[in-house]
Amino acid sequence: MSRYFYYLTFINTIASLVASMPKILLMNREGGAIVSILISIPLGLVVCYLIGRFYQAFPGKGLPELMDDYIPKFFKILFLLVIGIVWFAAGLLSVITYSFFIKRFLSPNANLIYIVSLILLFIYYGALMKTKNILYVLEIIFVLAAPMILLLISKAFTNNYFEMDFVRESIMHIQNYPNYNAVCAAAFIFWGPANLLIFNRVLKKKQSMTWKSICTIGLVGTIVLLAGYFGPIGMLGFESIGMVVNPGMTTADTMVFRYGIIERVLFVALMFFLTITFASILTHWHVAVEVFKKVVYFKKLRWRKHNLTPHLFLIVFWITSVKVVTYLTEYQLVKYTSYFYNIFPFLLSAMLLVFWVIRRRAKA
Amino acid sequence: MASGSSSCHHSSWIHTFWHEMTSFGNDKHKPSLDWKVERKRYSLRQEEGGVLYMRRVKEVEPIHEVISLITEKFQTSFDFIEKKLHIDEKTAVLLYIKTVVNGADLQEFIIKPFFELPTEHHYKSYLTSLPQQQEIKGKEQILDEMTRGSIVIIIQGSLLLLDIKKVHTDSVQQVNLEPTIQGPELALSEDIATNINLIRQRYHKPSLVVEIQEIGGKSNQSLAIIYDSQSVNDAVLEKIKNKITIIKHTPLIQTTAEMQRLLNEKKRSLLPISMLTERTDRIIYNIAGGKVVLLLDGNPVSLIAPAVFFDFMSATEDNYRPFYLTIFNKSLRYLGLIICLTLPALYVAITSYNPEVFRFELALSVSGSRIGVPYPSFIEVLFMLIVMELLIEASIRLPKVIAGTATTVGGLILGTAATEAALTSTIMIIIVSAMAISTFVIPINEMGFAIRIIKYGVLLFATIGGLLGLVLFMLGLFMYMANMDSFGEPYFKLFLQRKTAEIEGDKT
Repeated sequence: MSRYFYYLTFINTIASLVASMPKILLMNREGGAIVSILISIPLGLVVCYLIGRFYQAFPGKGLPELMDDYIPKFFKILFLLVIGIVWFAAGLLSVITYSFFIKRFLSPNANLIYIVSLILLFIYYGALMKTKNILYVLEIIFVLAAPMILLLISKAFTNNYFEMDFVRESIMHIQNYPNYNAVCAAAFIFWGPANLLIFNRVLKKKQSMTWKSICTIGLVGTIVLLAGYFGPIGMLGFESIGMVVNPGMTTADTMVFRYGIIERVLFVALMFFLTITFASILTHWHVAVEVFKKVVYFKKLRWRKHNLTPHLFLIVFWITSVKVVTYLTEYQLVKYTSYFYNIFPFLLSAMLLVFWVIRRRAKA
Repeated sequence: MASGSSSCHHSSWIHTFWHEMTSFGNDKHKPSLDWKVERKRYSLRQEEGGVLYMRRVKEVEPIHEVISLITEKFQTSFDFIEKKLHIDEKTAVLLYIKTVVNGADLQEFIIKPFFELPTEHHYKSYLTSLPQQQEIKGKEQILDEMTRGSIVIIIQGSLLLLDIKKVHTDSVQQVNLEPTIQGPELALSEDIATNINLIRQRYHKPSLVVEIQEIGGKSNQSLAIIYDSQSVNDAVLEKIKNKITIIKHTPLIQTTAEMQRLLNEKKRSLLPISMLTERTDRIIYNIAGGKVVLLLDGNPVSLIAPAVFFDFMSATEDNYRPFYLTIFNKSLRYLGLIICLTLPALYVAITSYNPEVFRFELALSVSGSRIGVPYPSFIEVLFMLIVMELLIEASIRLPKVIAGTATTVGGLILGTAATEAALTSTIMIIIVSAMAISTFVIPINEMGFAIRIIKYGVLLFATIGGLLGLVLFMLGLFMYMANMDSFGEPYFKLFLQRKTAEIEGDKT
């Protein structure tokens, strides 16, 4: 596969590490979290493979263009509308999650609306960029941040304060039945390729989804899942982890770089995860804007040769985010994120169905 | 050739002729009187022999019209010369501008042979076989070439144009802007022909193409477009040529840097999308890599396009040195870039928002050294930065004799005095000087200047948003650069794979 495919996938994977995924898994630590993780890996990979396989048959074409050709118009618009809303929600949840992080760990005095607006100021510019250029941004962010994040993960596991006993204790709960919430949250990390529905437009070369690429994604995904689940447990304790609101960040705050310029790992983690989350928001909202453009497009809304429709969408996104961030509490955020993860498999199934129809009609 | 062998033999009469000619030339009014007679003769000939044609001119233009146009245009210039050569049955008229013509060449190639060759016919065929002869395309072109140093010769009722220009700007200069320890020491000259010669002498390949165009609606400068036709990216070449046709009629384009600005698609831009260089090795390296080089006459700097961000961070020496040394130097440069961009902003974000980010000892010493500083940190930083910018700007503009004084005085301000007056903290001094040094690590000047400005953006966002603002602005900068393109080539794309794979990936 093109290397940009991996960036799309891994950015989503790593962004989930600081979103609510670990929290949802840890809430089920006495339920079936471990089995859920074990189930989610093959499940996530199979769906990831199917998505990759589908798009490799249509190089240079996004889902909206394919639907133009093979799917009835009414259904197309409805489906794209749903996709757009879901992708917008994905970005929205990331924005809010991270704004909460910033407020809690970096600048407690700042206003949440201010933080969200500052982030969205840059997202606004980014989401309107050309699709190809977004891939270049993803690349540079990934290349800069991924080594640091790998270092942080390895630091958590090689730490003197990392207690294997807590991990052993958590493994004791392996016999429990899996939990739907946990499976969805864990499997979501493999579903970055779903973004191809727009980004496939610029991957014009013939791609090939091989076992090698699936293995790479599987490996990275497994590391991230294990780190997201066992890292906090090992550092903070199996019992007390339940009382922590942001397990990922709190775990980072338990560590120090003894010889580093910056002593507390938290700040490094916060900055590097910010870049990754930013990239994730950027992809999601770019997809959302592009999809909405296919649903609604005001041809007359023009100003100096620029059509303002995408700006309109982004302003709506912005206002919604500012409204939602003042309304949500941290507990509700986790709950709604969990709902989002739970809904996503249904959307993906519908999408796979559409893929199947398109492939059949394309062959005929 | 007859002239060479018989020059001694005829020396005496040449001498007398010279005498005659110089007296003739001194008297300004005389030639024009003679000219009238001459013109009459032409018109007579014209009546006799029908219309006279200029060599290879498509539209018919009677010679006397051209001549009267030339005299009319140049009449008022003191250095315009119309000179009649006449001996026995032989007659020829020379029209040229004295100050741009090479006198030795004029004497050697034009005047001497006239008196040595037996007939007008011989002389004419001698002239037409000279390599300096230029093709005549029209009246305007004749006038234009005359201003560059060509001479018009009227013989046997036809008009010949020969290039005998004199150039004073062809001395090759020392490398000034991009010095290296190893590598060529000589840069370009200010003469386009010399520069093309320099490039050709270092790149011996028949596929090297040099196209000459004229640019500037008033100045009519020559512009050379140089590329290797085998390796050049055709889409890019076409884009560059299109842009040149667009800017062609700008009245004055004096420097390559000005042309660079005009070639930019956007009116307002900050980062350069083409590179200026004076180093021949860089030019050759880029031609071999498939880029297009533009040379403007009268400029010791060439323009290389397209150029991406990472080109501006590479020095030519990177190719000459051992691998690990290059890696070290490159990382040093990127470190300098990061320091220069973020250090002042980081100071503001850390002292005003999150003093706990660094070790608490550092937090204490920073706040300790800020005791007595009356302003918030961002004003302190701005104050120091602006003083430093003034210092840099002053040392560029000042004559070299005074520049030393300016920097000494400035150094005093930037040194201990500002701290003792409690205007800034001591750490601030270290930060400003570290930043100033690292600005100059960036090898290409324009990029250094652009970074110098972008730094204030980082500072602004660090002031309003702390560390969050700083990181977001850096991400914004990445996005801005990734969104740019240089003549169709992505500006900020990482090159992780082999070069061929990258190029292929881009085309598909």
